[in-house]
Amino acid sequence: MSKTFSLSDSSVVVVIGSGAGGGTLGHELARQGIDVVCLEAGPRQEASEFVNDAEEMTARLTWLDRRIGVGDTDANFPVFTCKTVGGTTVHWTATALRMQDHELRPQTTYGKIENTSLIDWPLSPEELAPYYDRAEDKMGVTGTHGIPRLPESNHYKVLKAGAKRVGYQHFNTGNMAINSEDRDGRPACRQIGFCMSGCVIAAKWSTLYTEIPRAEDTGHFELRPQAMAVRINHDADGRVAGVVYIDKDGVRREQKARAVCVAGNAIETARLLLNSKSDLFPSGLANRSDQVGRHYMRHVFAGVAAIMPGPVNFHRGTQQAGHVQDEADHRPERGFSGGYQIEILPFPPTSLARLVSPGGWGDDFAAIMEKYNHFASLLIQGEDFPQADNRILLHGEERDAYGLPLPVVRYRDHANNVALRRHGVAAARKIFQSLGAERIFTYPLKSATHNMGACRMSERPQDGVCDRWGRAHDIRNLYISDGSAFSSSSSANPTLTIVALAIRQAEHIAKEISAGRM
Amino acid sequence: MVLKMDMARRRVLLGLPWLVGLALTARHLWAAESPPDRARVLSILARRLFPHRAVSDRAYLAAAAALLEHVEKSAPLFAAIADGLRSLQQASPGDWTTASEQQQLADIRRIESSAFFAAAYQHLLTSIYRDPEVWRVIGYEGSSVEHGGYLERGFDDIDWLPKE
Ligand SMILES: Cc1cc2nc3c(=O)[nH]c(=O)nc-3n(C[C@H](O)[C@H](O)[C@H](O)COP(=O)(O)OP(=O)(O)OC[C@H]3O[C@@H](n4cnc5c(N)ncnc54)[C@H](O)[C@@H]3O)c2cc1C
Ligand code: SF4
Repeated sequence: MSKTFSLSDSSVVVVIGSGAGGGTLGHELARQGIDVVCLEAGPRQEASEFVNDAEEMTARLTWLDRRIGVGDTDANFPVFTCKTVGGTTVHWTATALRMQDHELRPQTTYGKIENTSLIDWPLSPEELAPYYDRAEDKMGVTGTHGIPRLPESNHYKVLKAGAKRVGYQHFNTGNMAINSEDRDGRPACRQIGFCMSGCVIAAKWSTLYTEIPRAEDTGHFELRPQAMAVRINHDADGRVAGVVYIDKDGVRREQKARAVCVAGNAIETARLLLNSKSDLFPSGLANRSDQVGRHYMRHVFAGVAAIMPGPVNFHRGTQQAGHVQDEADHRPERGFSGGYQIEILPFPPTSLARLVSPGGWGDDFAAIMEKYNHFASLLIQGEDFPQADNRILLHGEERDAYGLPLPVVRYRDHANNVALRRHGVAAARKIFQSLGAERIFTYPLKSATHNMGACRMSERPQDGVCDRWGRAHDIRNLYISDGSAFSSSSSANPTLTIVALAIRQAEHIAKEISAGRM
Repeated sequence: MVLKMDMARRRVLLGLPWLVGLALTARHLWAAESPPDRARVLSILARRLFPHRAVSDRAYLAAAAALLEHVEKSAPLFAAIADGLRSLQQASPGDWTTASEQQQLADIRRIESSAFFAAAYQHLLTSIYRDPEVWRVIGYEGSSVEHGGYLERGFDDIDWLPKE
């Protein structure tokens, strides 16, 4: 019962992006009777069209428009996101962790750390908690609200046995936005093992087959796939008034709007604002204090893989359902601030081949690959601190197919990252060694999968782009609705927090509208 | 002589903007070449790079064929591959494909930092480790949805972990 709105209808809220942030926000607004037009750059592909083929699905889902990386990142592929209806929630592995209370107050907790731009979140853990509850319920997160955890896979059992041996106490099959039993009209996970290729049976939460069709069912929501927003326009008073986009036929159109919410996954969010320069906003929309694009964060990542003494078959089963949380707290005596998560992360053969021995070949390499089914692999994911110069910029000359300047992702490791990574790698090695691993490999993960900051929330306008609701400090009807609004990264995977904030933001927008303020 | 002409043309080509009809140019250049058996050379290269004894020649030939097909579409890649093939051919007197394994390995090592090697490596790796025959040898099971996933097919069958 999808609705269509006219381009000149200025009573709609335009949401840009249909991923975790945009898809959720769109549904939550529509549910409350607010008319929404959702612009999504990618095409609509249904779960039933997905195949169990990592390379093919990566090609079908990934955002392949060029981005340039500078610094400690991949120069040609600095970030890994999707361009498809449902955004990166089609691809994600569905780990859904809350930020810890102290992580929402990083400045207070960690004190002053050189060369960072740490701030506390302008909202308290207590304010966020009820929205975490709602997000977990919406997404069916295992291990919360009485939802059983997923069963233990081989890969998890390796982690568990190792974790026990090294004396860890907090490990389980994770808080996963993957059905452990039939729920919400979607089936239980069948341990298919291709979460990252799009879950064919829709056991994994993705806005593609939850939020978006439900939003359409309300009669207040129109999804426009293959609609790339290229500019946000404002009126003479500096309030946003419409979004210019290029549709699937390459035609430029403008959708009028009552309010605009941007959820393009950090890089594209910042880029869109920077590209929306005007007389009133000469350095980009909502960029009066030169904060748009700055304080860009990812997570501190490292991978450790091992050939175990017996078969593991880590390709069988839910890809990331195995976590250790003993290192997630803040213990400065470890030599760094903040903490990290330890999560299982398997790879198909082509990826494993490239990661464990980059450029490797010959007998030794083949011998490694012949142990494919003996591999176990862990991801270290630590808190990344904001730095003003880790930022999204526009390239001076190079343009993409839409005629827009290419985004430049400038990212440099902080000294804290280096120390955290070293600790995390040692911890993962210990886990594997305790079980008699035959060989251990460490590899970097340079393309970011988690993108945060870049349009962050701050108490004071000079420290960030938006306020505690994600509303731009400079513009009352412009909202940031994705991970770019994060004031800090925490060690937790970002999506649960993105969804919680989107639910909260939808409530706020509904109140503003009914109070006649928007 | 063919070699010299090719090199000169390639330099011009690489200097030109991407406007050049790449596919066409590639095929044109290809025709000017007459190496004995490109697919065979590349398949031996693939086997030396990723030597799985239990894997048949078919898989390596298929990887070589896929690379050649891909090369047809890109002039720069074509030039790199043509160059590399030539230097492999010239490395050993006679037919490189029948040189001793040791000789072949030494030749490959010599060109390890070439553009040819980089391009061939990535393509061959992808083909080899996407090949179901290779999967069987290394223990990867591929698509599982049509079998109902691994829920009843061994996702939790590990039996060697310490009991405690
Ligand atoms: C391999 C992988 C695994 C992951 N696993 C996890 C995990 O286990 N747990 C977790 O919490 N997170 C995970 N993530 C991250 C998670 O996917 C993201 O945090 C989340 O999807 C971000 O939501 P978003 O709404 O900001 O962006 P997205 O979900 O990426 O959605 C953004 C959408 O906006 C569209 N868009 C962008 N610009 C424009 C424009 N100008 N006009 C129109 N549309 C536009 C894009 O096409 C895209 O569809 C993973 C990511 C990857 C790549
Ligand atoms: S393991 Fe579960 S969640 Fe992942 S793809 Fe399979 S059914 Fe979906």
